[in-house]
Amino acid sequence: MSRVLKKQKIAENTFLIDVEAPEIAKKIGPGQFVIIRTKPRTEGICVPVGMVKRNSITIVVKGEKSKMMLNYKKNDHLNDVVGPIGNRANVEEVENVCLIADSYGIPVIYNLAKMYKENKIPIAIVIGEKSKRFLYWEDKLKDLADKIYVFTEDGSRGEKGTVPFHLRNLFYEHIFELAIVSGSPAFMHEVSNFTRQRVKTKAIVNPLMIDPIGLSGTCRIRVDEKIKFAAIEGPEFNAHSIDFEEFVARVGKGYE
Amino acid sequence: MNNLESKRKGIFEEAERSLSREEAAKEASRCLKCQNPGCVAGCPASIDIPNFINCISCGNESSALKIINKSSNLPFACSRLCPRERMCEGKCSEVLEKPIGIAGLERYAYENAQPEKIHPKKKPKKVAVIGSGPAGLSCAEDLAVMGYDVTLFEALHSAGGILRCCIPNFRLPHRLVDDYLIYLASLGVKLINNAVIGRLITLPELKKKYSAVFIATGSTLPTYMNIEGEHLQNIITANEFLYRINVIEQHLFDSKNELFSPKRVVVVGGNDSAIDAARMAVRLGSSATIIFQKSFNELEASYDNVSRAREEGVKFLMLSLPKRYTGASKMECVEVIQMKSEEDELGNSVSVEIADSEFMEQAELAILSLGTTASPIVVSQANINHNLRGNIFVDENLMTSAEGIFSGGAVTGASTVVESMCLGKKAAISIDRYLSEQKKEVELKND
Repeated sequence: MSRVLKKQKIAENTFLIDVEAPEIAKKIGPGQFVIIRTKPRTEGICVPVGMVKRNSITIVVKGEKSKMMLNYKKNDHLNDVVGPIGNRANVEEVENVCLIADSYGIPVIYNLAKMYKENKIPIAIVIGEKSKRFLYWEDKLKDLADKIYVFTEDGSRGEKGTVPFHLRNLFYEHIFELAIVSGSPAFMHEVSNFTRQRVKTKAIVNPLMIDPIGLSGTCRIRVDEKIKFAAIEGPEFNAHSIDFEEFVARVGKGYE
Repeated sequence: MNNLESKRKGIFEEAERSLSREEAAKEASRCLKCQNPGCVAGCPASIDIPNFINCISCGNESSALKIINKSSNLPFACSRLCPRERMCEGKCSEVLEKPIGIAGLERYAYENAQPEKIHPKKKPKKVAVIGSGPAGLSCAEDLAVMGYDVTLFEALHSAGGILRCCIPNFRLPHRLVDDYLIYLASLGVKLINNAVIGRLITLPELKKKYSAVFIATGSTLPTYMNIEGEHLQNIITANEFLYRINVIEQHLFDSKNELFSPKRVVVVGGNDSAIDAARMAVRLGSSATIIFQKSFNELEASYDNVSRAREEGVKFLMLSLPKRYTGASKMECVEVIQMKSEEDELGNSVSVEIADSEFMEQAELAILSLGTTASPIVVSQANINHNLRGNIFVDENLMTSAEGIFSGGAVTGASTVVESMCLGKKAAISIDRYLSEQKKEVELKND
């Protein structure tokens, strides 16, 4: 059982939960996830971790899954918090890095940005969503990035348009050595299609991990024509080697 | 739907009852007490079978269980899960018209005996056991009985390994696993769930805190055929299907989910997990068909499981191999090609495809049970020799390439519950010897 220290709605259908997990907090690194189960007899859901404190971790629960957090309040307990899931992302020795995310990937790139900033590697951050209603942590990311770009499809925040649309201009004006994308499957697919033959791109994927050890095979993903398990070999893969069409067909466009 | 099929639907409890006192005594009295008992040779745990059967025929169940427990830690599991036709009962005297029902008698002894109370003499050394499947459980029990301070780490939220995750309640009631865990706790074994060793705690960190470590992480990762359409949404592994039902109990609160309410299910594979998944699907109200590329006699599953599945109405499509799955985002059909058995140059039976024999089998759910490989999470950060399939290499004492780290069970290649249990027991003896020798070395140095 893990105690909820804080619950906050940070965007539409998006809750930030600060949960007591001292052992996981000691070990979790950028790019890793945790699996939570709210009560017995429920399916585990895999969620990204944002801030990590000494005794607690901050998880972000989004979309349809966030409904199970509606009635949660401070001092309630989550039945299980298991992690870290997947391998820790390592710093690549590059000149600069462009971190790209939609609202599902913001916590992931937040931790990557912290890691690259500590290593003094210049960071550009691109976040995009349908509307500003879904966006959060822009200020936190701004503090970490050398430059931040925000795009919304309805123009309610930042420039109007999709991320792949704006990446065209951005990649024309700037040269990046590495791009890292995290977010919903369809978003990662579009970004990866755009960056192919332009810049080396990594994707941090979350393909429905329901158990922490790859036992059920739900976390499988085809990379370089081979089946890989995100919980074991991932969650970071070369984006251009991932069969995103198959991935989106299996998991769906979002994580709902 | 035949009678048994309609009876089984919705029944997740064990159907086979245990023997009555009279039935057990009658069955036990048939034993010939052979000079060279084939049953003992056929049992991977070498249980003194004629002796325990003799105790049952004398009405002394507790002595019978005592004899069983000398060689086996999990009689409640082995009596239900062992492929007995290939083990003890398969080696029973040919003089008898039919072999003695040894498994039934073992179960009878377990259920009717008074368990012994054990008060281990405590030893100061700490041992970590990773994985709470048959190997981990039996190693933990034996070490705890020897007096060691044992901590059992389990990655999932509920312990039992394959006994809990993969084997359905109707074949092995999960309350028996719970009872066994309570017994382990009474011996002082500490169980830590939700602890993914290799991520939350690395093996080198564990080795610093414990005098010895036993890795029994099993064979967990599913394998795939890598054929067209295998990614489609309603194609899942037997591991996932059984995990969702056995551990999450999702069929109880999410019964409308398409995984638990399909009309037709195809199960690909011929092992016990495949049969278990098909029998479970029947209980959920589906019609289930097993597709297996070899002949009926070559099914890897135990005879008991297969014959129960047939009685319950599971269909068997033998000598058939899936070629591809069709459908837009969801699988609608599986294209199957027929096979024939032939002998290769070495005289082994092999299945070869019959040209132009493809046909389509419609289904709303496909469950894949194509075998598993070991997960490399635990050993990846430690310098432990293992092969490409993740199986750990061990010496004759089950010690890995790292000193003080032992391994056994499916992760070292065991294929049945009873074999894993035996390796767990063997590891406990090796760990005890290793720690005793360490103690002697320290004493010699001090002298």
